[in-house]
Amino acid sequence: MAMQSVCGQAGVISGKITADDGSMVQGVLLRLDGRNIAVSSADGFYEIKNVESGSFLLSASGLGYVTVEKSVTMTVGNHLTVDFQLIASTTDLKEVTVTGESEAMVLKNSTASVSVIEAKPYYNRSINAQDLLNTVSGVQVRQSGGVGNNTDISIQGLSGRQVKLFVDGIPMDFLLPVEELGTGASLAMLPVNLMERMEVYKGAVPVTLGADALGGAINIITRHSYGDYLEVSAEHSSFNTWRTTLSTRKTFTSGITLGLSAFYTSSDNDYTVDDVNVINEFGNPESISAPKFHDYFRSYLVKADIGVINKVWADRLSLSFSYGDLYDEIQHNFEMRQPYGQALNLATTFNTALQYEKQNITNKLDLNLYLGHNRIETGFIDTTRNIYNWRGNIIGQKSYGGEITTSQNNLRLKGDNITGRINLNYRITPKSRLIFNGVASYFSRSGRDPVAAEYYGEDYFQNPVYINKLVGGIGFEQELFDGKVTSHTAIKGYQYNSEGFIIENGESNTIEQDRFQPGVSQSLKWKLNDRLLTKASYEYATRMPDRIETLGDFSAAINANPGLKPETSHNINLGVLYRGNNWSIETNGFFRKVEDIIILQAVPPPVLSKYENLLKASIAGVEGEVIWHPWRWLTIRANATYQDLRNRSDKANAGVSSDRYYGARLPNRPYFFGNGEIQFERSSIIRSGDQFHAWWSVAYVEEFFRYWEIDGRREDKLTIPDQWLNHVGVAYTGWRERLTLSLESQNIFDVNAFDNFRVQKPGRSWHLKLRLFITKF
Amino acid sequence: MKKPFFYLQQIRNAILLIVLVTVATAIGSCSDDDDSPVVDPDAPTIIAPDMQTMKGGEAINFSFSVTAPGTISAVQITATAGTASVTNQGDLIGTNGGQAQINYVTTGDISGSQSVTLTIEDEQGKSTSENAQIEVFAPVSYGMAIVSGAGDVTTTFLQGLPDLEITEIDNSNSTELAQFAAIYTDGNALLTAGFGAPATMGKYVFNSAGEAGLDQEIIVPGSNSFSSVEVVDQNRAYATVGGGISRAVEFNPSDMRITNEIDLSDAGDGLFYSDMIVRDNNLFIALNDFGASGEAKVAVVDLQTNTLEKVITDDRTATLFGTLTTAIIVEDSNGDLYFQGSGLFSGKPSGILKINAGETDFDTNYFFDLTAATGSSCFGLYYFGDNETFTTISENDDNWFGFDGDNPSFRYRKINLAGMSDGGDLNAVLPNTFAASRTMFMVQTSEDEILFPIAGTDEDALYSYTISSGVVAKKITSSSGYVSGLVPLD
Repeated sequence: MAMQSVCGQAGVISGKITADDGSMVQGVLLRLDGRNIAVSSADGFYEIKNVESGSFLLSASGLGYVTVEKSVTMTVGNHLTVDFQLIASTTDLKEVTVTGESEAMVLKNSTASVSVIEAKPYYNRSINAQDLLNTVSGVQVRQSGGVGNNTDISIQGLSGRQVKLFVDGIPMDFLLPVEELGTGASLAMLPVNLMERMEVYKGAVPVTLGADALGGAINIITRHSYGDYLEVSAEHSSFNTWRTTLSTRKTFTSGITLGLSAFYTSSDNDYTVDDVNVINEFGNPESISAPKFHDYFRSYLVKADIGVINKVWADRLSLSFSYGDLYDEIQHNFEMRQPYGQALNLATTFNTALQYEKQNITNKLDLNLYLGHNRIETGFIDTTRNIYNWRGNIIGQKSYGGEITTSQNNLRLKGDNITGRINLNYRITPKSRLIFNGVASYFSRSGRDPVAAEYYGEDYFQNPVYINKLVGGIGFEQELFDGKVTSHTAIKGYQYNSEGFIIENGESNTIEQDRFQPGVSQSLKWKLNDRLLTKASYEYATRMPDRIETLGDFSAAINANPGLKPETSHNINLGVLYRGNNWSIETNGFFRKVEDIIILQAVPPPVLSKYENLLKASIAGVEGEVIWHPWRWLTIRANATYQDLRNRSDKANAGVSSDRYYGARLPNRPYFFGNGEIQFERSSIIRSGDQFHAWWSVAYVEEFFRYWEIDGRREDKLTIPDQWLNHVGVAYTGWRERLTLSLESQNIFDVNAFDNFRVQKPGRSWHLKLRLFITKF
Repeated sequence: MKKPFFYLQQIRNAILLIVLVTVATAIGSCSDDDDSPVVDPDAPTIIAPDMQTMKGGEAINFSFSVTAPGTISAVQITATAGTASVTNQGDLIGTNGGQAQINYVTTGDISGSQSVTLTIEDEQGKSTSENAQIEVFAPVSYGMAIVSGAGDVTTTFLQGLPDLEITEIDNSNSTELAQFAAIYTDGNALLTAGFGAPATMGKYVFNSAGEAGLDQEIIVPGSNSFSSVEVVDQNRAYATVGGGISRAVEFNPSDMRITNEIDLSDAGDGLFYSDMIVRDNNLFIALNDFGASGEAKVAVVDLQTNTLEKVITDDRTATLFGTLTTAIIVEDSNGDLYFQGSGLFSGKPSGILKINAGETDFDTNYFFDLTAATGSSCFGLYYFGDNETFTTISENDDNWFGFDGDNPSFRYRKINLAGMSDGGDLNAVLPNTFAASRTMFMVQTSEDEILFPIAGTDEDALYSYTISSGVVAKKITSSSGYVSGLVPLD
């Protein structure tokens, strides 16, 4: 690794940056062995001082240009002149591919057990974040319907709250209504076209992600390319679904950069569901097929930012604002047995963030700061007494209560979150570094529900809830044995303080919780040669009980349990990656030993249910992925995951009177799944420079049991059946690589699709998408 | 590397080969299809009866119609299981036909599809055989529900039992339901009241293998669940629903049709209908308001008009808390009704109120203060005679709903309604049970035996109480979960 020398004998590299038309280019980033080191000035010149002797790779990257790399050799006290002539890229596709791949490769080559999904290749496709995640080996995404519906993400067997999501390193629940509306609705506010990549951490979660993730983490990196560009995409698909995105940026020669991104998504979600019941006059069910009639979803978000880049005092300083809104109708209950006709969720988000990045802010030290204020306002409307059937007709009225709740609700909650994050990277020696990450957050929430207050006689939702979190982590990374082995050791600490209320005998009482939990991880990477890479990691991971689990949720009839212990897990990962000339294979084995799993012990309302520490589990599994690229125009990718989730609870932890379930496979969780894809790409088919792209992807999930496998007569057991879903699509890019038209069919064979018992997903859908991408305006 | 078209050609050739092989196989197999039997017009003919049904361990009689061109020289009968005999064999020999009377006897362990084969031979030595199909139903005298599972994944399993002379039970031959459900019976079938919206009642009948299968459902849309069920006879039953629909429905268990609805909205909002009982022309419904009013409330319905007659209240106890599996109303041999209030969430004691025979108001002179008598809050009420009345007492009111899964708090208790006195623990060594959160019921299975469940930390079992001796003993241990229901079937 090249380092700036502190001794006076170091050399200097300087030069000029010109474009292919001869003009001088300002703002080009110079990297020495991958590290940002200088930026070209307004007249196109640059200078790098204090370069120690040795051989380096010097690169020049300017947005809108193809990155150029040159090898340089510095001798003591020498002054080298290295000029660059940059060639404009026709689209930023190539440019971002260069930098994107490099960042992905950096991650893939790190000690972390991580899968990286580049979003760029999917910009022309009709794919959402959930479907994209589902293509990753070891990851299983279960959805309860169409656009915006409930989503549960599993990474190597752990799921739900055990998997943490982040947006640009900030916990997603600070930014989006994850807690209130779930992961599905929140991910619907993150279109793929506004992403740069997704990082799926399956083993030890890096200290840079400051949250208590028990079973892995997903970090969604949004687009922050600093070239000038405009991208607009519009997609219309079955069930009257619209997805549109806008993303643009202008970076001035002064370094000032302005960005604007926005999206609008809506869907009637009115796909036909089979085998739902309407009830005749005698109370007997008649099975019918009917379109969903109350599942409309709409969300939009506008985000603007202003900042400067590539300054001596800052690599990046930006201030961003965003406003988002969401409207989500609720069609049915948990197992799709009771349709609803008017209940809905609302959400509005306001985010303001200040971000600062600087490498070498002092010698050897990089700094990354984030300060944000996020407001999330949510609404839950359940005010009608009407009873609907699956034909969408009103068939009666309740005497009291709403469609879902006993009280009826017009609940409005307002939550404010102030988050600060500091990330420091200190290079102790050329082969070792120290990383510190600290995240402090303060959350407060209160609300009102005049409708529920009428029922209960008091508006309990006005009681405020406060949560303070402090998450810190220190990591030490060191290269050993000439860089063949890299070790990363980390310790983490989680401090959680919350205050809320419980309702006892009709009275509201304040309740508090204060907890600290440590965590530790060790990761190793062994690069045997340029082709073969092995990794191993261990993490003692923790998930703190969250607000609802500890403080309860009156609107959901959940009582507080301040005595809950954190969930803990011993996570072990072993991985091998081999890269051939035109193929690669990656295999990962994983083991989890999870204790004190937090489970809702449900009792009939209005008696309040409560979360308890129940069950221990072990998870052992293996996943693998093969990518074969036999010709330039053909790519074949396939992966599969087998995970064996076993109950390891004795009777006391399982809530039963015997050890019957010890060692039994955990029910209602997929254990074998995989997916594959064939992609065909050709250029200059009709006109020179155009691109044709076709793909066929398949997703498979093996049948699994709804309840414990060892119970009941096997042939009659309730199952979530085998799933074989096929998607095909074609895309054509023309007009000098600016305009892309794609046509895709998802679930083309129109098979019944289920991720959860009885809850049907959409059948075959058709998607037409137009994408316009312009640079250099 | 070879060009892609080379591989495409290879794939095409392979597909062609597969198609050719498939077509050739199909053509070849067609020639074997014509295997229709050859009928000898000179041989005896037998007409078998329609499908017969019977219960294992019983005997049935049926007949074959037999015709022989000549005279019958021999009659033979066989059965796949059990014993079949031709009772009029002597009458058939030497004749040219008639009704072959068959007696078929099975043992209790025989079930499923069986066949009885009659073979007739005539004097020319020609013979004919014919099968009578008999569906032998496994004898089912009891229906049982077991709740199985661990963590938050639990559900109910149904099974039929020929008798209760067993010491262990599991759910290996049980039907899995999609939700927790309590069971009731009209005498023939199992009725299940499931927990979860919408309120769904299933009627399960047993097939010949003794397996419970869904026959029909009654669903009340918009409601959260059925909350109480009262079966009067095979043609009349009542059920209440919870969750915003203030209604009781009358239904016919034989064809599972709702026949009437009773509007309970005048009784008030936010009430949970926790138990009910029919006496004379009235339906008495326990109203649980979870302590909000500090009173015990009972809705009195006039079954002649199917209307709510009145709501009676009494503030000496409160919160008539019952569950789908547990009764809190009983009728004694005099026709007096007793209502057990828990007092939960109200500061009131657990206690028992009385409505005398022929009346529809609480007896102001009667109040059995259970908390004073037993020192605890109580749950459930079962009556099998003046000296055989039972409840459960809570040793720890903080764990009424069983959130502390290590410490069940309820104990079975004997009480005396007339004397308003505590009879003490049903048995001192009986383990504690999760009564309110899992299961509590008592069912009389013979003149001298009452069975009841224990759902504990170390065992799930049915215990027996011998009425004549007062002896309590473990009857059946469940290795698959706690027993949430046991009903006798005809």
